[in-house]
Amino acid sequence: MDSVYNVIELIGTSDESWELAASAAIDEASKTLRDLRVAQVMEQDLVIEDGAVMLFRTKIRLSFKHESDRV
Amino acid sequence: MSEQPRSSQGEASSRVEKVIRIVASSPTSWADAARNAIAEASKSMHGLSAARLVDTDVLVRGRSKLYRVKLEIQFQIDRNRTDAHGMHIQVRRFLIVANQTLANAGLERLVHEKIGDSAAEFHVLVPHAIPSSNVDRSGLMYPNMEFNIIESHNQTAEDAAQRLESFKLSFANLGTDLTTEIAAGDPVAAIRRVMERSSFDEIILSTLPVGVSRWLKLDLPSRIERAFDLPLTTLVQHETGSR
Repeated sequence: MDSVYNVIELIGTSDESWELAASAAIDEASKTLRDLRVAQVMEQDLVIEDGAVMLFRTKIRLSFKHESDRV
Repeated sequence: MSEQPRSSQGEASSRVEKVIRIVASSPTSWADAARNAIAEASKSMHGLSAARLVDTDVLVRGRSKLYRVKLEIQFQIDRNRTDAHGMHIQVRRFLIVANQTLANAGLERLVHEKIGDSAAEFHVLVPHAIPSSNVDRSGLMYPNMEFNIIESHNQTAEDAAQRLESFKLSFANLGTDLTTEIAAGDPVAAIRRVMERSSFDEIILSTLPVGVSRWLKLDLPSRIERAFDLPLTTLVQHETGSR
C-alpha cells in the first residue's frame, strides 16, 4: 500500500548536551504527533555567552505518517 | 542554524568576523569536549557568539574512548565595540608577549602610555620553555597542530602563571579588557597560533636585557618583525621583581 509521510524540522535546546537538546525537540513533537519513528539529526551548534557554552542546540528532522483527516 | 543566536545587544551594529575550525576532545562526552574548546578559545578571542558542530568522532584505544568534536567558531576581528553607555567606539588591540619581566613595573607603565586616552584591548601571551616530558596527545588541538602540551606539575609554567596573576592584579585598576594565555614552546610559533584566532594592531615584547635574555639571544624581536606585519615595541627591563 502506498504511504505518504509528513516531514518537519525542529530545533531543541539544552544547557547540558546535544542529546538532551534532541530529546527536548522530540518530547515536544510527541505531544501532538503520533507514530514518530525516526528523527534525523540535521545540524548541531552552540550558543556562547561570556566565553562559555550557554546552550546546545540540535536541529532534527522528523517524519510521521500522513493521515488524511478522519471525520 | 538558520536563526541567529540570542544577542545581549538590542541594537544591531556592524561586525566583521573570522571563522576558524578547532578540534577538541574529552574522555567523557562530546558536550564536554565542546565546553573545553570554547573555554580554551575564549582565552584569546573577543566576542564569541556561536559555534557550529562540524564533525564528531570517537577515538578508541583499548577500553578507553576519546570523544572529539570539530567546531567552526566565529569571532569578531573588527574594532567596533559598544561601551558601557551604549556608545559605539573603536578600540586598538595590543598583543603583549612577556614572561620573566611580566611582573615588572616597566610593562605596566608602557601599557598606561599605550592606552593614552583611547580605548584599548590587550591579550597577554606568556611563552615558556617546553619541559622535556609532559607531552600529551589527547588534549585540545588547533588546526595544523599535532599535539598539545599539558602544563601540569611544571615549574616554568607555574612561575609563568604566578607572574601572570600579579600582572592581572595590576591591570585590574586600568578598567581595560584583558585576555591571557600561557603557551609552551617557541614564542614565534605561539604568537602565530594566537594570530590565527585573533587580530592586533601592535605587538609589545617585554624581555630581560642583553646577556641575560634568552629571547634576545634567539633574536626574537627581528623574528617577530619578519613573521608578522605589525609594529613591534620591544621593552627591555633591567630589574626583575621591582614591584
